[in-house]
Amino acid sequence: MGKLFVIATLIIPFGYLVVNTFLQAWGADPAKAIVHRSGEITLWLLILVFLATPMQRILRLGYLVKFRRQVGVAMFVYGVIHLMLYLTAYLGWDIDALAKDFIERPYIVVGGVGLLLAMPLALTSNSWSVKWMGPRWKALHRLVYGIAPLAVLHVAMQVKVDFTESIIYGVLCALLFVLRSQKLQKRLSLIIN
Amino acid sequence: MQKKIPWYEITPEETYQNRRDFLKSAALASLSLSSLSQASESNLDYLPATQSNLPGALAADELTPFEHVTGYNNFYEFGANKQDPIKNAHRLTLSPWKVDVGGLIDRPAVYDVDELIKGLGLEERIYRLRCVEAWSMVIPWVGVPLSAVLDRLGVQGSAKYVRFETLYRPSEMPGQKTLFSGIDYPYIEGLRIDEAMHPLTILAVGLYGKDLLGQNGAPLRLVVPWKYGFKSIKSIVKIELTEEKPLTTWAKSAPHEYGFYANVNPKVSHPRWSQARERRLPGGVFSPNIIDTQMFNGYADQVASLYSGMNLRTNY
Repeated sequence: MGKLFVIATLIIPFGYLVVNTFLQAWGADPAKAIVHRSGEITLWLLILVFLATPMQRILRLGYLVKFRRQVGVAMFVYGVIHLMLYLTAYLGWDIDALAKDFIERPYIVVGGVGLLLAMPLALTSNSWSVKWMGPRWKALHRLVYGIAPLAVLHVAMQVKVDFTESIIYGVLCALLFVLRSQKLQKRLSLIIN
Repeated sequence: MQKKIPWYEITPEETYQNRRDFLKSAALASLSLSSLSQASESNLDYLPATQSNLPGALAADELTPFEHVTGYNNFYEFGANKQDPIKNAHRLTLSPWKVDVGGLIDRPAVYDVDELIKGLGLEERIYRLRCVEAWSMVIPWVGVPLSAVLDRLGVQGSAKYVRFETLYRPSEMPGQKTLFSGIDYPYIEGLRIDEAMHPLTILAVGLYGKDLLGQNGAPLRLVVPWKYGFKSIKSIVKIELTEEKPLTTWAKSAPHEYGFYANVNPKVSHPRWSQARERRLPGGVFSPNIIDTQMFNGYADQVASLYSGMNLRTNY
């Protein structure tokens, strides 16, 4: 029941993308609007995944971790949607343009590597893989520590004039790293509970 | 020789239909009333303009609808998002508006904006506007040739450049208060004197036959159609004729990304955007309206001679 609810919730942003496209509500430059929005959704889901473990330990909310895998898979799926929208709306599926973008524009490479790193995590986000891989599963899923900074860098590298948003994401990302400290988690947990 | 054809007679019928449809869908999407009134044309003064018959002055491309021209803007003084200027620009006090004109000219003074263009016949120019971010619009401007304004002020022989400055007024321009800004204010732009005197270069006071709105650079802005949009400085309060090349805002902020010339050039990429193609707005998600970018934004016949012998790869 809870699982179904989580999955339904994770589909809402997709519905939002579809409805806005259907209503032509993206404004003058729909290509840019939808590519940016799908990227933001991906980033927020990444933050949510990252937040699950420390929140569980600090606030003792066990159910957060139960749904972490679903949120992680959703993050990857939205990342792929983001990539597809970039290929469709920005490049019109011009493969030469993609090759050029990849060579000339480092933020495209950074985003691409981030998404690529997320793929094995999404593919192994099932109970069978957890059992089969044993301790290697945990090791593999530490890749998320690499993905988060890449995602923030991908955003920051595109800033033209106002770094406020990138700084917020950067600080949030750093904070999430700090919250990984078990000592800190214990201490915060004692204070809060 | 100039024919009197008001802009509305040449606007394609479907553009009007689009505008109607937009207003309908905007109402459906329950946009705020204030942004609707910002986008409506009815409360603006009609500007009597004649159509220019200068080669290149009237692009044959389909016009970008009014609500997009006035609702999707890069004017960082009013915020970093394209939708910010329409929300914030109404705060701008447009009257009185003084323009400080100085440097190497015979009649330096602080002019009222109306005084500066008084007596010079307003012309309509339909120009393609190519943003450095690889999107473009087609806009019917109303304005006067910059050369006519400068001629009247008496440009001195030693003047080699024109330097322009945008208003600095953080109380009305919230973007100027941004803590982590990548550029300095006031915004500075500049042209070489031959670029400034070129007949296609105008000082605009209106678009779509009406007064300019704040988000489009009211009450006075530059329009240089063969250069990337950021060269066409908005809400000008200072014009100075100089001997030295002015240090322009973007060139100062990121010299490897933005040069002084910023001529539209599909062969020279910006580090973050390919300049080979552009999205002609408005587009759709699955029909992004991607077209090839033309050298000098399609004005090569008129302006290429200004740059003959220059390496456009190094002088970007």
